[in-house]
Amino acid sequence: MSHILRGEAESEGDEIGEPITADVYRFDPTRDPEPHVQRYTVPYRHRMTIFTLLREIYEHQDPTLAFRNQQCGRGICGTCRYRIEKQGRVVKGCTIPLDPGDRILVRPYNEAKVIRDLVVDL
Amino acid sequence: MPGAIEDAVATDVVIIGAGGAGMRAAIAAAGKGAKVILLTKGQAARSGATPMACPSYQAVFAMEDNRDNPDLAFEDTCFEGRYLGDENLIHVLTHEATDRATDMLKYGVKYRTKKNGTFLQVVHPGHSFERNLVIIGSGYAMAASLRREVLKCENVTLLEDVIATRLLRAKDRIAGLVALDMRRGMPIVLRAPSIIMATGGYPELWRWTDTEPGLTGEGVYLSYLAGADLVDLEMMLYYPTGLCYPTEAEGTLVQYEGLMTYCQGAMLNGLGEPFLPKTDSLPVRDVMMKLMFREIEEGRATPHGGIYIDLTKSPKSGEEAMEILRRLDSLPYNQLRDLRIDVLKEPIEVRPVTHYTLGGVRINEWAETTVPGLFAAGEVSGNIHGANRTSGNALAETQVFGARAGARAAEYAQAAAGAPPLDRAVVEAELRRTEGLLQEHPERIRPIDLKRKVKSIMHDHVHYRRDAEGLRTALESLRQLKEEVVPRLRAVGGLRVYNYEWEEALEAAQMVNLAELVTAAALAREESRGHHWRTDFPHMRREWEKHTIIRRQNETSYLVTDAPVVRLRDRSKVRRAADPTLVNAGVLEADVEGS
Repeated sequence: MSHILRGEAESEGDEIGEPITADVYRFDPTRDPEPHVQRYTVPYRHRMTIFTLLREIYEHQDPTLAFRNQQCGRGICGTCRYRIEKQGRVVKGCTIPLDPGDRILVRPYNEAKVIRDLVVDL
Repeated sequence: MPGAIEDAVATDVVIIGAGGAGMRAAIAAAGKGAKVILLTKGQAARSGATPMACPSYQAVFAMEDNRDNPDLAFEDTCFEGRYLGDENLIHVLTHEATDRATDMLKYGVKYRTKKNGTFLQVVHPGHSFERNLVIIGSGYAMAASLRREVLKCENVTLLEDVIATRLLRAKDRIAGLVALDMRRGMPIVLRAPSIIMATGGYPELWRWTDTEPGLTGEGVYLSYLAGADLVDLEMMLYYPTGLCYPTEAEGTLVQYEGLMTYCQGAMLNGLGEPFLPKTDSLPVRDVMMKLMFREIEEGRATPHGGIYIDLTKSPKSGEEAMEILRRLDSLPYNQLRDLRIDVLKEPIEVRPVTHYTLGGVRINEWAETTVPGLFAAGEVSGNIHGANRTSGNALAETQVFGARAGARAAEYAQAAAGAPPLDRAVVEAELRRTEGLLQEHPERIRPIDLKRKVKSIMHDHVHYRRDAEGLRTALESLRQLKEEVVPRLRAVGGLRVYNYEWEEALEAAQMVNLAELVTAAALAREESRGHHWRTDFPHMRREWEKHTIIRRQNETSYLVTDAPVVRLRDRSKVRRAADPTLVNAGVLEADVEGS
């Protein structure tokens, strides 16, 4: 699949619900003394997943956010192992479905091996 | 970048791409005693085409039917490739696939077996007998096993998150390459007498694709820039059944072979009518995609522009069907479950998507390109399958030609005794180019937007149906992009470590150029054959039973020419007849001399 999300003109019919509040781990070990968390408010789109949420941020809000784009996007390859806290539970996997109005925290799988942000040397 | 040339690392063999072919090549080269650097722009066994591949590996073990044999597999592959594949390569592929499958057993790859312990082999369209092994855990498990084997090789250095940006050559042979190390955000220069290209193909040039997004084709383009002949670039294989709804799963491949042959699901148009001609076996991919697109174009599509695969009509019970699906690994269960789709309870909507690049870098049976010291193996190579490919031959190709490329590259490096000196001016120009992509521009165009433009042009004019007018429009649009948009291409600035836009900018810049070459090849081939479907030349023509070749002339121009197909048999005498039912349905050519 191409991970490039559709243009605005093609996204009609998407069910727009309450936006998602995503707190995302940010860290550039070559420049930042400490990791920090950045908050993004992302419009909810039909059947949004963790991966399409990150793509939405990268494409429309913040091209500096680093996560692995070269991955299957369908829960096979394991590249997507983030630590995601949703409603107090820790879940993992890029195909995790999100619901409108979700408040989530996305952290890298292994903070000791962060290259930048969510990109980890697995 | 000061120091990059002085710090150049020398080795015997550099392999670009760590998928099935690249990793197999590394094992083979290391086995011959060569020092190997294996680099991948993603992570080995977690990126690229191989981990996403279906579990199918074609090899004539003849464990289901002892009438099967490699010569029959050879004939099947020649015929289904519409006689455009080089027969010396097909001979190697079909006769060595079993030995390479046995190698993989040693690396820890497991195939599904039956109660008596023999391999389960399944028949897919185009196979005379049951011939595909079913890899447990699909391409992902195969890649993971190969990676473990690679890491056992002491003389292989694996570099991940490193993208090759330019090959370097001396007058008469390959000399090294420039790459960008994403983890440090710094360029690196490597020197080697042998380089193996194993980067996969370019399905990402189109909008509807089932492949991983890194398949942007730079291996093909870098080889071209280094002077290698490209062959049959117009041949892009459409896999018939990628999901077209829900949009979030668009392009996810479901294996129609398993769903229809073994689960006895039905393929129906949007009106709920069956439309496949009544044939003895399921149609192969080029025929299937034509049948499906015809329904879609003639107004009989599903609500989201596709075709239904309906398992609810299967005579098998839900439990039986699920058991078969699990055994054959035909579906991405996790994703469908998370999307709340139950294939046993509702029909799914699918349509053909770009899947596998048939064309690419021209090689001989030792995976040598036309540039001494440059090798190519796997999907990046272009003259093996022809105009269509049967199921299971892609993974087999990675192992057969990966092993050959690795062995021959190691021998070449030993004989060459070191890499030729680098051309400092070329290296410095390349370093300036990659650095330049980080510089500010008042009207910066993002790489993702350039990719969108390329995909849109290819979708509109160089898709499954083509004609001269559309192809000329595409050429004009691509040239316009090169002049007006590419100079403004920039990654987000002020960021070096894992700046994904930087990588995307490198990809996007060459995608424009590669798209132009693909379009030029499509314009040159004035016939319809396999996956190349020209509405202005609707028939397969015997005089076009030859390769299109694209060769670099200089900075701004290329030569479009042709070359004969390598034959091992006299095809004026030995030629399989097309199924008359499909000929009558207008989706396969009778292939008559002079037609």
